[in-house]
Amino acid sequence: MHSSENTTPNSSTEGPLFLKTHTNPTPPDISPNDVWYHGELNEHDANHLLQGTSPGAFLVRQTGQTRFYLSILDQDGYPKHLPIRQLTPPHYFFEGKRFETLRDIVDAYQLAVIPVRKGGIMPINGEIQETKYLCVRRFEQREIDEMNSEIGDILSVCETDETGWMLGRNETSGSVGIILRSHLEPLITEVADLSDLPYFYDTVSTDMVQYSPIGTFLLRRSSKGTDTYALLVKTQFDLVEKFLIVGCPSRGFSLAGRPFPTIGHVLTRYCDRAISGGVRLTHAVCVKHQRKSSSRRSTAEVRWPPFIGNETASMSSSQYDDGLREQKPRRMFRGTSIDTALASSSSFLTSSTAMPSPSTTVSTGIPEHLIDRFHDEDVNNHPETSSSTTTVAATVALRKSREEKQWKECWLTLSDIPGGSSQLSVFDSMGSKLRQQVDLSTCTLFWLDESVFCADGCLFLSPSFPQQQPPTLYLCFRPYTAFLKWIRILRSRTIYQDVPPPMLQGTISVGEPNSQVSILSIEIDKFRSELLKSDMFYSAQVSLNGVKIGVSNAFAPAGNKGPNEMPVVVIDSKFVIPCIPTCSTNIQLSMNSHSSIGKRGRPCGVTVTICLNENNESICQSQADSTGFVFRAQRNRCPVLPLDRYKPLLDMIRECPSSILSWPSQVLPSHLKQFMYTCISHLYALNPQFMSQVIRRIINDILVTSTAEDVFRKDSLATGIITQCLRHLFKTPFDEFLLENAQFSQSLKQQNLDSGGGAVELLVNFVDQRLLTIPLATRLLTIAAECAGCRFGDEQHEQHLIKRTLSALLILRVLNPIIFSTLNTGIGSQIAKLVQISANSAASQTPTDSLTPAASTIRRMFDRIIFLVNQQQPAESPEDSEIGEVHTEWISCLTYMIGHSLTIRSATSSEDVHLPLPVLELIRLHHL
Amino acid sequence: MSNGGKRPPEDDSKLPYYKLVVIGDGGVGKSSLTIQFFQKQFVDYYDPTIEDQYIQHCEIDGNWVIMDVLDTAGQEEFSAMREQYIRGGRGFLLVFSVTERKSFEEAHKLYNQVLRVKDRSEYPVLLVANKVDLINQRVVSEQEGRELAAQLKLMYIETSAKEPPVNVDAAFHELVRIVRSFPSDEGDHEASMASVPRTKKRKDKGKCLIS
Repeated sequence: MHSSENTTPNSSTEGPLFLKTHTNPTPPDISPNDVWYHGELNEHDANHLLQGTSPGAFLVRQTGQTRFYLSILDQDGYPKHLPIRQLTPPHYFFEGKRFETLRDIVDAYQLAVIPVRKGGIMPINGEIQETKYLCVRRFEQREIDEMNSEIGDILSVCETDETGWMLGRNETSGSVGIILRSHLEPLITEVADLSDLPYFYDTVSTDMVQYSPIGTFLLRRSSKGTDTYALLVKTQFDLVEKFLIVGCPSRGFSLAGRPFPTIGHVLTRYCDRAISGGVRLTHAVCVKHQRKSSSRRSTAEVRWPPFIGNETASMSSSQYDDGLREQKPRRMFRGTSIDTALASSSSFLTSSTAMPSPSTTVSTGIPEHLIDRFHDEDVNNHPETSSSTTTVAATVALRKSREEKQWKECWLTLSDIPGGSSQLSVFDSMGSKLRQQVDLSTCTLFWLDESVFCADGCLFLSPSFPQQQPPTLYLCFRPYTAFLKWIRILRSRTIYQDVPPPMLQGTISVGEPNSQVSILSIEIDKFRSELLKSDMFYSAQVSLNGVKIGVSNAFAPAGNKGPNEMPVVVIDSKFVIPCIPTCSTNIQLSMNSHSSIGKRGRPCGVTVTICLNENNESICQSQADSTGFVFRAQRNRCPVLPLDRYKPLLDMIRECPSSILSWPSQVLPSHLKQFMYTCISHLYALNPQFMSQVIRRIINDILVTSTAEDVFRKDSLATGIITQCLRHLFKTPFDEFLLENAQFSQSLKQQNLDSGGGAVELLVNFVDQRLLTIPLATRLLTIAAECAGCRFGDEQHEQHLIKRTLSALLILRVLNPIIFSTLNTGIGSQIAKLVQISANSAASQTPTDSLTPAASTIRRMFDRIIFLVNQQQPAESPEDSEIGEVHTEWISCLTYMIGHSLTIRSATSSEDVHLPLPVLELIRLHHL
Repeated sequence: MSNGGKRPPEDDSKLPYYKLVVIGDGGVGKSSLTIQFFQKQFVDYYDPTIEDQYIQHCEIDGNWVIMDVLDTAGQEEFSAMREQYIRGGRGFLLVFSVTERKSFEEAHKLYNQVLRVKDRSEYPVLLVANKVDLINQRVVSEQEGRELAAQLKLMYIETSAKEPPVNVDAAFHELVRIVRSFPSDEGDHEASMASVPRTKKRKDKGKCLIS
């Protein structure tokens, strides 16, 4: 098949020189142009190189002084290793015949048509060669021996003897061929600032890689602090993992304890070795810099014609620039390449190019506890200017148009339009089809209590003129922190009448967006009606302007009290809804009947409507009238002042938080106390650096008076705040866990409840792998463990006491209440008990060998948090923690709650609360 | 002890059934009291309780009854579950610790919650001052306890689960008497039996005599 001359040129070659780093010398008949000769290479690595290539791809390798192998991908796609022996140098023996050179063998073996170049494998001495490249310009195949490449593709390439061209393999598509060097940049490159890297982002959503093929990656700044970065990698169909990289360009980087001189070295290593689950890096997300093709470059794309001979020699001078050197060895190489490519084309036209398959035999060797794996998604807040609109934010969310429908994933884009309005676009989850477009300036935003859909992070957008607008829109954001950010972004762009109370008009800017926030507090005590039946269950529903914003549990009517009294169902439910409209608002209370608990309710046809307006902000119905309800409703409007106005309060919170937050938590009714904790939780989610210091002080204040045995078993300000923060972080992943494990609930029913060990183990493993990889959560638990360590440092069995602390906070107060409220009553309490028993064992001094699997997992969780405490650097001094972006509406709500506590306390106690005058003045502003 | 040989009747389907709930702030000794009553032993280590149910025959004032006692979690994060227990209970041991003033103040709130959920102005509740053996750590005096009981119109008793136990059996027996003395209400009984599904029973046929 191959008829070209086999003469080896005697003249010295001017091609690139490959480093001779092998223990066995290269045979003298091998020239630098024989790119298929790899030197010393084992079978495993050869298989690795052949994977993803086409049948006919081959290489030659050496395993001993006289032992060589021809490794080739056969027609079925499996690698073969054919032995070559050099028993009587310089002769080679292959398949029973004698050959003078290795090239003779290659030429004689008909299947060997596609050379697999050397490079990409770490040599024995451990040095990494710069053979990985990143495609920075799209390259379109024009000749049969070229390969397509898209921006972001990773290529493994080596030099050719023709200037400007590289021969290599596309790690994304698996294709082999040549490509212009001008379209590539080395993966290993020195940059003074990581922002110069085309795949680096300051903040970005994981969905930039979430909907890409496996092996796609990008690099972004990590929320863990300065000089920390997260490498986001798509490792499974539905999993994006984040790997923590620490360092800076001047001193190098570290991933999982392994040092690398540059980021490029990190990427190069994991292009060849699996980073997780057998997945290697193959494609970078490079949407930052889109380089344009220049006409000046196009001349470089002129290629050598495929013919050899005198005619070619005469044509070359007119085809290439004078600067290009005409060398006879170069022509020979091109001829070889063209011939092999043509042969490949003629022989295997029908074969499809395989995608690079993961090598399951290669493991990353990264300790599990050092892998930063979580599924948080950040809101991309970078303004992106297009022709007429400004994209403010974009994210993946869940949507539905009607209450009874199922949630669907969607891609949200928020744009500001010149002229003052904003547009929210709802696409299919792949961003391909526009489903809905909403003009926010004509919409009203409603915050939905978690009882409506049994999920945090839901809101409702309602157009003011339904007949002229597209359908209404329910949205659900995950995680909770994304919801908080979007509430703020959306609230300032929807209808929100900023009419401050008259007395405030002189103190704040009128009409400023976000200048007010309203809190609605509703307490439904009971419902009395002759229509109630003793064998039915009833729930109450709260609506605002026709939008359902809260629903109670279902209860049976209370027992008969006598023939003269009407049946009554005690609801005893309370809702605190922030961010409600500040204009005239109608509240509707209605009842639903259920044939049994858990069944869908049907309206009872009983509704009471209350109207709140500027003259009437509070309604109290203490006796059941014709409507049957006993309830209280109150709306409070709080001014949202500029951040600097809150400085006195924030300074006090930072310096001595217990003095201003403890007594409110003691006097407030439980539902308002929970709302105060919610405000603090929101501040922590949005400003963890500042609030971490506050929470640390609060914990230390509580621990001072705690004994070793009763640590955190008493309710306190610390337990309330930490519990609320963790609950917000855990609730949504827990719901997802139940969805992903539909059999979890089913298996529980079938199992004997006395032995729910399997379910408990599954649940505990979920906590270990999903919940405790949420950075905001581990941060809180680490702070608690650190404070407990300082407090009980001189006690015996210090670690045992720290574990009791973690058990009380994480298991007793957060996980088990979530289990109780999420699973149904009987099963939930049983599982919660078993989890608590495991946690009690894990926190005790029982030897690890005696623990159940679930208890062992819990103890390992505790040990890992304690490990993090010991590993973390000294905490920043309080003076260094500055407040970043603060969502002042939550400070406004918090200020209002403190003022409300002051009112209650003044009415019930003669004891004075000493607050600085500026703080008192600030509180007064929020109570008018 | 003179009736040491007495045994509960074979057919217990006609015996009165009392569903009682032990409520109180976290760490006041609810579980210690309950375990001391049912198992006659003192648990001196602290493991948080989620929910424990004990069922036992008991002879009180010469009459046999079935006592179904629910020991509950005291932390505020379990307030939703506590309300479920309250809806299904017919009598309540309202426990506070004399060494914790906060638990004493919390007892008042818990009683208000019982009345609110039951939609009554009175209900069978016994106010229990626990840990009275810790004399040096006592911060709530007996007088204060009795004053609160009088204010709430409740019976008051002081207990200790530590060996030797003080008034443990008396507390549970007194609560049964209080429940008996309230007006009989079959509707309540039926509602409570239907609305709270039985999950787990620990039947202990051991004797519980008081003469």
